Amino acid sequence: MNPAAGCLLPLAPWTARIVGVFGKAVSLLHPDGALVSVVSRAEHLEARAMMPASGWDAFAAGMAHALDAAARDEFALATWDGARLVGAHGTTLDLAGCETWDPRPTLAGLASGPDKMMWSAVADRLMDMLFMAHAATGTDEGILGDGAIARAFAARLCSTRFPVCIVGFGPGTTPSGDDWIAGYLCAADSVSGAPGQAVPGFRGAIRQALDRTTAAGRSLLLGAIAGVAPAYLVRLAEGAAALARALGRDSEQAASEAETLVAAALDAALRHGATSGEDALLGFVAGLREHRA
Amino acid sequence: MKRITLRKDSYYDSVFLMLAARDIKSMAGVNDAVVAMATPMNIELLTDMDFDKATLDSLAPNDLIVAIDARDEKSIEAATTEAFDALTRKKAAEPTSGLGRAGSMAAALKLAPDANVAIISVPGAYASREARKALDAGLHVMLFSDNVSLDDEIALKKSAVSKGLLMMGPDCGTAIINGKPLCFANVVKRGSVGIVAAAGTGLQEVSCLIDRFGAGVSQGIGTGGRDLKNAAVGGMTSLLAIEALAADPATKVILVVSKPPAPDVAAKVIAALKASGKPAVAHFLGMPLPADEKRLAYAADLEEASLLAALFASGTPDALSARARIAEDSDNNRYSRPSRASIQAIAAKEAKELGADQKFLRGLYTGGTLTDEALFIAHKALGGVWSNNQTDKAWQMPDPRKSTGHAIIDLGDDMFTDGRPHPMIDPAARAERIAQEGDDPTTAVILIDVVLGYGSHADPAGAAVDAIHKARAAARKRGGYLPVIASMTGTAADPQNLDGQKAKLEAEGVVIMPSNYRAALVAVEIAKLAQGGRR
Repeated sequence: MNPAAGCLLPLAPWTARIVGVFGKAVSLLHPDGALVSVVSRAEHLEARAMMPASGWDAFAAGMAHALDAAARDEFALATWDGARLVGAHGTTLDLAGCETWDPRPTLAGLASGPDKMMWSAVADRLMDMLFMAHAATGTDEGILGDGAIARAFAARLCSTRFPVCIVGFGPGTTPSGDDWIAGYLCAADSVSGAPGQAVPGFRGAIRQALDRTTAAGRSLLLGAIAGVAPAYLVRLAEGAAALARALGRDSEQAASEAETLVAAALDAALRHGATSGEDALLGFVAGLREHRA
Repeated sequence: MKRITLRKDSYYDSVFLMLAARDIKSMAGVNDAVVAMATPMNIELLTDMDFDKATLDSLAPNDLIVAIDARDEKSIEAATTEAFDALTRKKAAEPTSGLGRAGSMAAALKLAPDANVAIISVPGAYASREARKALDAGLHVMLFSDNVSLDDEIALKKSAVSKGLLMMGPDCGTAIINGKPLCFANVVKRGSVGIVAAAGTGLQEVSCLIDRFGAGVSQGIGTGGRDLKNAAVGGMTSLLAIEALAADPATKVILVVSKPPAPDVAAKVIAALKASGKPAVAHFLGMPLPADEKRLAYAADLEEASLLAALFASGTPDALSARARIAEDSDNNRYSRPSRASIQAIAAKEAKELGADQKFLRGLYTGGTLTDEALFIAHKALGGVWSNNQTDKAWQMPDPRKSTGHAIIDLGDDMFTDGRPHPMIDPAARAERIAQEGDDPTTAVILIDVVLGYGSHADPAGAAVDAIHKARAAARKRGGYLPVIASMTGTAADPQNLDGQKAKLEAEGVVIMPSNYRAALVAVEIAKLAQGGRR
């Protein structure tokens, strides 16, 4: 495995504040107000993430110690010089020679092949799978279901202030509305074949509203606006495109194989965050439905 | 009433925030709770929900809001305190307090280089791999996970034995190592009785009874349910545990508790106990009792096993003397073990007002070993009891969700816990079943276990009383009476407040017996009276 860095990683050098050490990522708050993530596996890559070839566990442990040791009024810091990330107490992560991770060519290629009408069938299938998964294990605290937040979100989708009124909306360190937007734009990019360019007005409105969300949300949306969806959504888009092609060929075997791909991608998506995967899937389905023609 | 509390500049994992919101919402008196970041849209949402806008001014999107809507001041205080305790604990568990969070076994070992036990609770498919990593790193393992294959268990135990390490499990829920309760375990006195038990509630019951009988526990080593039962596993962990207890200076008495071992495994266990040079007690549930040997006593039930072990620990020199001391206590007062006559009197009183249709015993258990003990007693005494734990195939329940005849059900079995928490953690499933049995006019007596200690629900008695009340009221309405008999596995030092738990159940008319064994005897007597038509 080679080290990788998302194509929107801020240019070196910079120093960022270590704000969280979680099971899958170390979160750094860049001076631009959006997070940079150091992730352990390729499936967690996104626009502003970096992934070492090895050594993540020790690095995360070192960053956890640094956070622990930081005094109340001081922050634990990490510095990026373009090849190495050096944390407090000298914990170092080597990313020399890292490859650039940019999913846009992949997303651009998804549009050719599928009959655009088939995207609608794929959207319906995804929605069925999502509802089944939600019924089995989902929560009422998100934007899917019957809870208060779900009802408020539904109202905002119809609001004249849409889409700004869903930026920063909902629970989670990355608010649910931001995940929905990322899913929506990923779908729009997949269908149009023009990542970062479809629905320019929508993108412009989101760009103006980036200060209305958390650092994590801002990081996600910067990527989404540029057409750089997180890896798990790219995987879902690939599965969806495969299914759309298979449905268009009217081949049962191809459809069955593609469904398996989609199911695996959906499972992986639903394990993302608390409701992030689910929220993004909702947005993805909405994006497919709107842009199929 | 509504209240908002804030934490500035906060970065928490979203899953944690969701679970925190869910926990707060489940607290008594809380109508709703929102745990969210202070983005303008979330502030607008909370304002729409009639939370005070003024409190939400001047917040930044990376600030955390905990908004609680509760019935009264007391509920809101409790919920707010819990919310921020949880956030503080989370921060403490993450970096600050010496409890670290790691994403892998390797990272965990770097954070805790002096660790000598790994407790593993991951889905079965991954459990073996993680256990192997721990053993390779020289750690003893407590494998809480189930769904580990027999082949994997054998391989892990062979590896552990070759390294002189304890491989406790799989499906090992309870251990007490050098006085430290691990997973589901009770706070018991430290003393000189070393226990080797298959898992779970058997170890909990004997450790609590030993505590009650005035002795204490040096070690409680769980081995997993197949260790002694399966000839291929051959008791590898049990035998190593006995060897370890033999060498442990803090252990003066060894107690082994299990379902009947495979025959040649039993012989090895007995030989190991004799070779230990220490007085020992063996209880193999359901096995015919061999004659005691000088310093090896065979117990018929968990209560007797505990008492014999406690007597050995107090200096009683041999099995004969221990039996004599028990026999001297003819009123069964010294050790608070109600006599046969007293049990019959309790049963007669409870059975007096049974309705004509009430015929059957319904045991609703959260602990597997306690289920098995009650089942063994009742099956013999009542001529047949249905169960999902039955070894007699003729009496395996066709559908454990529906009782017919006499039935004793282990509600902790996999079929009930698929997608739901274990009933010791969340007693709601057992409360539902109590209500179901209470609606059945043929139910003559309900028998339950109440297990306290670490890992168990904070208020298992409280979680059952509503259902018990309704079940008994339903019986009254039908012109009958529904006795509920309980045992309580726990000590005064357990977090749930033993006396308080007893008081709650007794206020509902539940008869609490001092051991599962005695509770089962009372329930069986009531069922016999119900069947015999004598009141």
